[in-house]
Amino acid sequence: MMAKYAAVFQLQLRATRVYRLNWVFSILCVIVPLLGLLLFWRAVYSASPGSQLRGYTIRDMMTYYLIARLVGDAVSAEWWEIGQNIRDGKLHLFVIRPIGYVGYYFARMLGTNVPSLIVTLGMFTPIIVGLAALDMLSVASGWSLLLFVPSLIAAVVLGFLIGMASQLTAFWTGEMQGMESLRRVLTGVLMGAYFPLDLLGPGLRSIASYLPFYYQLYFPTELLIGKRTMPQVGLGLAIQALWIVLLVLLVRTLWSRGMRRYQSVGG
Amino acid sequence: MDFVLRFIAGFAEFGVLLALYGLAAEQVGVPHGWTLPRLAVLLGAAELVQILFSTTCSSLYELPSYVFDGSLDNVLLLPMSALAVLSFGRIRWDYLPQIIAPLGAIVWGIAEGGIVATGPQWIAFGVAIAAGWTIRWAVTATVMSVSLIAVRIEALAYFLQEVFGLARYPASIFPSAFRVVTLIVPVAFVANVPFNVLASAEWVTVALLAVAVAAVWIGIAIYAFGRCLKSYCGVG
Repeated sequence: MMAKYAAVFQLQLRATRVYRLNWVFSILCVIVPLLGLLLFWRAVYSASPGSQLRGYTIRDMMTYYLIARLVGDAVSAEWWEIGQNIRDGKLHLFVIRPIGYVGYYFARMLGTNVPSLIVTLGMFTPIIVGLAALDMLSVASGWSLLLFVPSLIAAVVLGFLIGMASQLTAFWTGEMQGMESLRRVLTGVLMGAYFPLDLLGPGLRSIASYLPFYYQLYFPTELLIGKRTMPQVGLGLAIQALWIVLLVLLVRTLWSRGMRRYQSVGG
Repeated sequence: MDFVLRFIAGFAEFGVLLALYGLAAEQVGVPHGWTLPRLAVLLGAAELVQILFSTTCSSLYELPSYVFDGSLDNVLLLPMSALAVLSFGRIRWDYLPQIIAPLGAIVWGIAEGGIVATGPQWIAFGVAIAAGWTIRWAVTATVMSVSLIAVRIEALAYFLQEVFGLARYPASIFPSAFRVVTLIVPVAFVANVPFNVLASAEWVTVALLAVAVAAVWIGIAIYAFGRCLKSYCGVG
């Protein structure tokens, strides 16, 4: 059974390599805004050297955005076509196939994100080396570094499930562009894509920590920077696992209830 | 409802960036030579050009899909400029209300930033914004024309969006060599130049330069599209 999904993963890997130029530009889309952000914060901190922004020094801020972009690239899973397939009645083309719909898209996402992450990491290497040479990098060591890997894997799964749950609401809603735009902005804020959640202040940050978006990007990033104690890392990993379980249940519920009301006409 | 949600999303995203600038200014500082109100004007100008572009020219991003599925042939058969149809064929009026936020930021920034602009300067600012929008269109049209030669370059459109996203930052934060690049790939003309029209003593020169660069890029876009179209072969 897993062979089907492995085949989808390999097909997506090959599809990624077919249009290489398109793929390279999609990776450059991550690097350009990162450079802008790093240069901007360097200019901001140079106004008062040694200062901190809610506990973030210039090293912390630079490292945060670098790691957040890498993690964000790994956990991104935007599948507009899922909602489109539901609204256009083309979902039947998938459900008649001997492969689970959600599993199919998960394998596709891995086929896109895994090579993208590897190449992005390669392209980030000069930036990482440059920041390290300027003593602008603060990365954890030891157990935190090791625990970053399962945290990142959990974040990838979380990102996929959140995106899938959002798209499956198309069974009940009409045009989704506005909802998707608002979701993208809200989740971007809540997962720390725009700025470290510490900048929100302790109250709002605490509220954000109860939501799954927090563990999609912010938690693994903070873990790698070394801003988490071991007990906090353990708790965070457990909460990531809990959210994965809850979101799997949510996606399964949305799928089964959505399929009961789904209609498709034509061949 | 969808329109309202999109409006809120645009407003929220702009507000997040402005709030971040404000927090940084309050607790750390701002780039040398700038103040928070002036950054608000810059951010507002960049967002204004982006919204105008999204309202009028977002259909340009669909050129690769037109080439891919062959529907470009239908456009080429029309008795009008194909570039004009591809660029302005679908006006998204629903984006236009989002200019409220950047206009508000510009007005607030002008009032709080101590920028005293005369009537002619405001007119020149409008001209510079129009030039920035024109340049944005022309660069996008030039780059998207590549899809007539190389199929599947949708990511190039997103890459271009990210490049023009750099317009929201002061040009002074970039290293000197890169600042020259922002004039060649004229990101600087989207927001930094219109800002200088309001805040600089040489605003007439700056405004005329913006118009000249826009005219050059119009020529480049028309030439590039025509050149790439010669390589296009539709199968109907």
